[in-house]
Amino acid sequence: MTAGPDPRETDPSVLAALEPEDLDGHSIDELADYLDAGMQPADPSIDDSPACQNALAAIIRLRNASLGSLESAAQREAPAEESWISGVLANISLEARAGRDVPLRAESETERPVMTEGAIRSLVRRAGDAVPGVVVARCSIAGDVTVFAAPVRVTVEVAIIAGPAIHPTAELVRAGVTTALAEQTDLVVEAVDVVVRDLLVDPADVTEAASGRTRSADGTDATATAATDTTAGETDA
Amino acid sequence: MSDSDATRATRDSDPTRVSEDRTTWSATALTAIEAVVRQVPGVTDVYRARPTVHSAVAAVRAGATPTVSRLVLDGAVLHIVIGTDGFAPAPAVAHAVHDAALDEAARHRLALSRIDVRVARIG
Repeated sequence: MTAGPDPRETDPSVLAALEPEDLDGHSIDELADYLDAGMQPADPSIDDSPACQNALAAIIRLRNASLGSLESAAQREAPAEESWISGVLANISLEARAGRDVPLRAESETERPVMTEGAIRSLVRRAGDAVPGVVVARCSIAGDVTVFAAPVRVTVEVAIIAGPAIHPTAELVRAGVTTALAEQTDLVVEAVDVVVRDLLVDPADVTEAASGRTRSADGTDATATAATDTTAGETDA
Repeated sequence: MSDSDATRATRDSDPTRVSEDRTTWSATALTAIEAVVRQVPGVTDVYRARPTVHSAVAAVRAGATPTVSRLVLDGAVLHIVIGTDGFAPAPAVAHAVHDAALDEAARHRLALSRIDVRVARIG
């Protein structure tokens, strides 16, 4: 079992180290405001920035994942120094920056193809978000990604909003991320760890559960407001 | 000496003019290469590559205005930043971009020692 850090506890020192140019001069708040304004008037410095586009796509998916439900459930968590959504947005901000260059396989001497670390993290986040009922809170890649064919380990921390059984859902995330990385990168993935960090239950269900506890689809008792920590199976790729 | 020879002689004796011509020629080639890159299946965006110190200094020395191309030519190294559609495998798209850019550069007699293709966004 792999327990990653709590996504709500984004390391302040890491955030402080985030340079403006990491998102090409924009903050995650500015990007959220830009979305709220319908991306009008068009801002070329955002529209032409791959880092900003990666972040915007993640924000849109996050908003589409029943934002109200997430906030409502997260507000019941204690301590609630910072909202769950804010923590995820902070992670999106960190992950969308370009980061290191990850080499791809070159087939000639004149070729030097690379992929940005930000593109890969966004790919992982997108694959995880694609699983119904799942919101990726944080993803990370451990290993020296700057060395071609060096083994890496990917960790995806997710919140499961409601619905299907936890373990099969986590397995869907793991399979989706593994497939996406195999198809879209040249990474040698040693393992994909999925950590179910939060179980966010629909407010209506919480109301029905007078005891304050709810039952997940696989029959496992889970506290409605407490973070859970479940790691899906690992795989060799 | 014909007019064209005279013109060429004047131009060749003026290093500033030669530099401007070379810059224009490079800009034309880069614009053409960018257009070809955009046509590569799987490419959805061509982002502006960050100018290197060398390329920026060269542009300033030539008195050139910033090129309209999003590609950056740093000596004999071409920098291309792309986004892909998320369906075609990104490594294959990057390879196809390299091949297309190299062919188009050759068509414009632009000698490249290397093409750096950076995939900055997938899907």
